[in-house]
Amino acid sequence: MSEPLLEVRNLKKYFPVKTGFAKTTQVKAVDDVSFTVNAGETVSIVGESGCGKSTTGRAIMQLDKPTAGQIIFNGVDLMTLSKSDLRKTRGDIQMIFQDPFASLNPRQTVYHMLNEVMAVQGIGKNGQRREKIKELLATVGLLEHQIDLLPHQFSGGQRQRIGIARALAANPKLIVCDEAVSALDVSIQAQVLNLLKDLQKELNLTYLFISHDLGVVRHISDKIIVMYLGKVMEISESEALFNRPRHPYTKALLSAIPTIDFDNPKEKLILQGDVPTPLDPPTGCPFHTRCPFAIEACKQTVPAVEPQKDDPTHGVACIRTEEIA
Amino acid sequence: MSTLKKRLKNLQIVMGGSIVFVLVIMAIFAPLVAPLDPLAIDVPGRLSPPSAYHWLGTDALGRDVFSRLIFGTRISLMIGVLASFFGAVVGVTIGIISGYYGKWVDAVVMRFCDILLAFPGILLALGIITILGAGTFNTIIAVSIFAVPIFARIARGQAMQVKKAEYIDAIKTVGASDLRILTRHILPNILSPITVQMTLYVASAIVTAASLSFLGLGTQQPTPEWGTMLADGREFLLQAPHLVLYPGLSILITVLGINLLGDGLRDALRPRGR
Repeated sequence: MSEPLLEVRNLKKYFPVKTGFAKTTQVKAVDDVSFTVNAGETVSIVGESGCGKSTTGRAIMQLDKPTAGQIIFNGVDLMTLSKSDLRKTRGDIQMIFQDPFASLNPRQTVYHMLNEVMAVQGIGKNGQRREKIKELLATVGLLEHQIDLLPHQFSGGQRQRIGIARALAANPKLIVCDEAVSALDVSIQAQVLNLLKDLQKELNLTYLFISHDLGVVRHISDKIIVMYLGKVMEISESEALFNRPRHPYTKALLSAIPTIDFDNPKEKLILQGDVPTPLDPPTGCPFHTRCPFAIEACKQTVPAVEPQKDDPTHGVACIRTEEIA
Repeated sequence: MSTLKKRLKNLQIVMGGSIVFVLVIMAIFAPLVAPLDPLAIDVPGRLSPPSAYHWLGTDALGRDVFSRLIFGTRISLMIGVLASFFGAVVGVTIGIISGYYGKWVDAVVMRFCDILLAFPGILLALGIITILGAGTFNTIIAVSIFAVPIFARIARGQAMQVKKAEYIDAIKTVGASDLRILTRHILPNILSPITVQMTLYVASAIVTAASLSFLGLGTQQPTPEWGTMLADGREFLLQAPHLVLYPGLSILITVLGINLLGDGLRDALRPRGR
């Protein structure tokens, strides 16, 4: 249960952006991010738009080549693999995408889509995968006779189920869910989340869940990583994070969740201003421009993610944690 | 779209489709449709005006204009369809490769296309014919080479759009090869605009081919071809206007029919409700 399946070490992804005539600036979408995902766990990355959470996911999937760092899956660094070895390993890591309307090829029937995944991964024999695909459809709660339908004949929630079936078709160990439910209605979100939970138990899957929705994340995660401007702010067991957030940014995020407890009104911690542009990030702690607890020293040093004395599994990137906790 | 507009669009497809259908039938069954031998010379009966026997009159050698027009349909449609097809095959291939890989591949391919497109179509075709020599087959080659950059540009633009789709990422995460992505995922999803362009290009290919023949560089005598017939009739424009009028009308109707069909197809194939 607790051996690491995925280890991300010092992951960096910079994008060059033209900022003027013959002048390019590096946008540090992901800057020095490290974390571990243990087998069987659900780890979530949360943060607002542009914090680098999706870029992290895409880097792990090897869809965008990271600028630096290591992505160690099952003891092997994915970035050192040859093309053909990477192709084999890819089946072990699958992805569920955000937009169920864009993530399915509009010209492929469900059968062709899943059959192709299996063919590329060398699972089963050509022409003999139909039964297996029907089983997969049943697993994700679709009907057998829907196997020959095209994506536009399904609803959003059903399409997301097809997306899940496609990910499962490769027999993955790890599934990266990039905002997998944020495009769905709330009632459908719950259904899909429950399906993902059931599948995890049944197939012994590990999830890396990328989301901006703390409500969604709370229910499914074992561990939560909070990102801001390409850096990890806080990393912790889910319960510990929700019960006692330590980083000022996490505190602000959690206090933004609406509650209906009128007797004990929460003290709201409302952030001022916007996220700074990643083209010109602040010096020192990236959060100091909006942090209510910021002091002069915050502008000078980039805080590292330090384990807490009373809880070594809880990492916080803030020089004032002790004082403000 | 309002109902009236829809009706008009449907009418457009039906009209264009019918014209093209009739032309295709005429081309296939030319020997059965044509009342007379298109090559039979009848010098005493030369330049005769339309009559009950010679429906559209005879040309300078006394050959039946109507029969020659019908046989000419074969040549024109064949050149149009083949040139458009070859142009599309080559153009789409380099276009999707260019659009998918981008970077320097794209830069090289697109500058090459720019150079080809910088020539006026007929001039380029003339140049190619000069190298290859006159004739029907070489006309097809010349006209299809001119089509290559047109299709390449469309395919490139479409491929650049489609390659960003999440379903392409999805199949990449399984480990699919580039060849599979290009042929199984990108190509099927850009086929509609390509089909429309192929249809429309048949029309311009027919005009270009007829122009080449008019200049004596395309299909050679005595094969009946509309452009050649126009060129022959030019000398007798005043005595026998039917010699230019009817081949001209044939080209006009054909191009009109194909364009109506192509435009109609464009709207019919437009992706609905994304």
